[in-house]
Amino acid sequence: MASFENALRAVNELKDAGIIEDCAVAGAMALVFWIEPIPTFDLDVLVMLPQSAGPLISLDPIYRWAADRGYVAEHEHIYIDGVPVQFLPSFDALAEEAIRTAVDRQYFGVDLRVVRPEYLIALFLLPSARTVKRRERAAALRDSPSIDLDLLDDVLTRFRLTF
Amino acid sequence: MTETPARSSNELRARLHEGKGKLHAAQRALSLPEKVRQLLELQKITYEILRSRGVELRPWEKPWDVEP
Repeated sequence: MASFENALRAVNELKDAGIIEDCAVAGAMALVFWIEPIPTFDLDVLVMLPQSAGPLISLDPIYRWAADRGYVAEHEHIYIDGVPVQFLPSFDALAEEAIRTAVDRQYFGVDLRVVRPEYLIALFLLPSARTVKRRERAAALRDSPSIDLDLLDDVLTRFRLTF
Repeated sequence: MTETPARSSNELRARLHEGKGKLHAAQRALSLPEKVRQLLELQKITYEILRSRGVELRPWEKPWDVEP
């Protein structure tokens, strides 16, 4: 049977194959690593793509990798071992920092990187992504003991974000 | 004369709040596989609620048929 563990293992293959430089679990799924689980239907993976010659970035190499392995791509998701995964290319300095500072975790022996809660809050509060649901997630994270309030304050100040 | 409805005391509310805090702490402390197992259960519950409300779901918004 398909498993979440295998999906994570497959995501790691992208890095091993050099298709992406780095990646980190983000979005609601990342909350599982910091607070209580909340319902979500997809796995968001922030990815840092290799430097390209032009200014435009493309997810084509990821889609080709998926097709070679028989993973179905549907709209913005790739179904990897039963898990709809959305690869989100790093879009600004905040996203880059979120990936760079992500922490190493293991899931059934599979290595993975997870965006720190302070950066998850910042990403949830981005004006372009801001919804009531995301603000609630940000608030739940802020109230958790795993938060470094000084770091949170620093990140929110530098990226001019507020609750 | 209007009757004053029964109200909970500050002590009771504090105790309930503390209990809620303990429950959240216990949930946070669960192992990752257990949290993922719970998430898979939450997906099923949420999916049924959304469907019963007639919410238009996108194709990927459904429970994962996976093991934790």
